[in-house]
Amino acid sequence: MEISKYLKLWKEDRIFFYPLIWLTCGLFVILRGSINHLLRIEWLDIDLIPIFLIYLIAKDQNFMAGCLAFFMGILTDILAPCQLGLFTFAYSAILLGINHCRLFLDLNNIKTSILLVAFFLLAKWSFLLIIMRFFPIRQFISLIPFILVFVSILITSLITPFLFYFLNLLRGKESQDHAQKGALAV
Amino acid sequence: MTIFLEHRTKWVSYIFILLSLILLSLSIGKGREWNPAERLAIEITAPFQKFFIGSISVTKDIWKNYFFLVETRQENLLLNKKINLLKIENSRYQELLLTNQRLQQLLNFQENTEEALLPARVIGRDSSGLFKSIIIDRGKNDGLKINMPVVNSEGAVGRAVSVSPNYAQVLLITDQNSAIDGLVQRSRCRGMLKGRGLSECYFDYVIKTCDIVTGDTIVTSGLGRAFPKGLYLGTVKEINDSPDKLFKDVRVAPAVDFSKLEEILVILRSNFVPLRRSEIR
Repeated sequence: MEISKYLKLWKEDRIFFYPLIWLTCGLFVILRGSINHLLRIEWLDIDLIPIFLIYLIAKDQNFMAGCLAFFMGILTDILAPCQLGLFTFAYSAILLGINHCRLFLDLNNIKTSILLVAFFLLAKWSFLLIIMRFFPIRQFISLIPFILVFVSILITSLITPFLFYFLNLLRGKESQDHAQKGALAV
Repeated sequence: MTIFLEHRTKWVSYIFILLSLILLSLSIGKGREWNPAERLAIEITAPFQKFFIGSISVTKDIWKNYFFLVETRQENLLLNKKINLLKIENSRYQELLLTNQRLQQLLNFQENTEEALLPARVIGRDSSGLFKSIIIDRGKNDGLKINMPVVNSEGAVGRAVSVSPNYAQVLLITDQNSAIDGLVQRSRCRGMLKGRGLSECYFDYVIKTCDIVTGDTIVTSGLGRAFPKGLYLGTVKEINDSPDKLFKDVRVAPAVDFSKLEEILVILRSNFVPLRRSEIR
């Protein structure tokens, strides 16, 4: 009885789903370096956090996206040998920008989401470079060639539809409703 | 109040941005030392990294030792260890020989060997992807202090930049923020080994008259308070002597293979004086 109640709540995304997103993001930030090392892709900057953030914004969870960007930024700052607030500021500021633009965008369209993820990553790099340049931070980041940044953005963008699909599957009922509405619209 | 509640998300976003700017401003000029809250975060998150690395290591070991040429691998490991030890021995002999030739017999090389070494395991790597650092499973409780040198059998790995009670963050010599005073082992020319963020380093401030050729070995000079003298830093890979530049452009391949970094040694220097906060970059 209890199990079926929890399963029902799961389907209605009241519990588990959002904590699961937080847990996944947290683990990704903590283990990212080790995973990249294991897969021998340390020269790429594949960041899944923007995908989760865009997904949350697309599902009207702006407040949660803001919190997630802030705390994942802080965690990245702590685990990387950089100034505290560097990634926090970059993530939060870009997210606010996207939040302002969302009025003009259809975030339920997967192509828009892919483009937004790509924009997020590009903006992240630009932001970091700007902050490093204009703040009195005596620190440098690895200047990886632009082609590698481009490849990283491309790979992360290509991961987006799969991760969105997987998250929709986990989310259950609501996403099915969306899919049905989409099908009817077509 | 009503306006705030209506635009709650927007206000919270602005508050987050303001908070992150405050954090950024407060941390400027304070180096990379972890504050108590960060130390707590590391103490909580590092076990996850340790568990992950441990699981991977166990899986790798099972695969390699039991399914993949058991004896050959063991023998290979043994021979590699022997080669590494011989390399170190050879480096020390060369150092001693050159020092003797220049009548510098008073240099106390025993200082290098007398220092205690603390073995540690790499449990995590840089999470941002933009810096070159590792997290090790030793910290303040094991006697580790900020700026202590970290080595392995191949040469210098980096230095500790943040320390919590049980873990520490090591900035690798390949990071853009790393700079170590070095010497060309053969000609004793001085320079500064700086990271590039990739798998190679620059040997900067090498004067035009310096006798340096491709294949030369770069070792630590012992100047500065972190690294002892004579540690392998790398091998000269490429030299560009452009007439319009003040110094030679020297590219160095690090002695350590950072892609295979698993176990390291921290040199617990008995007479070690950690740098003041203002001195740490």
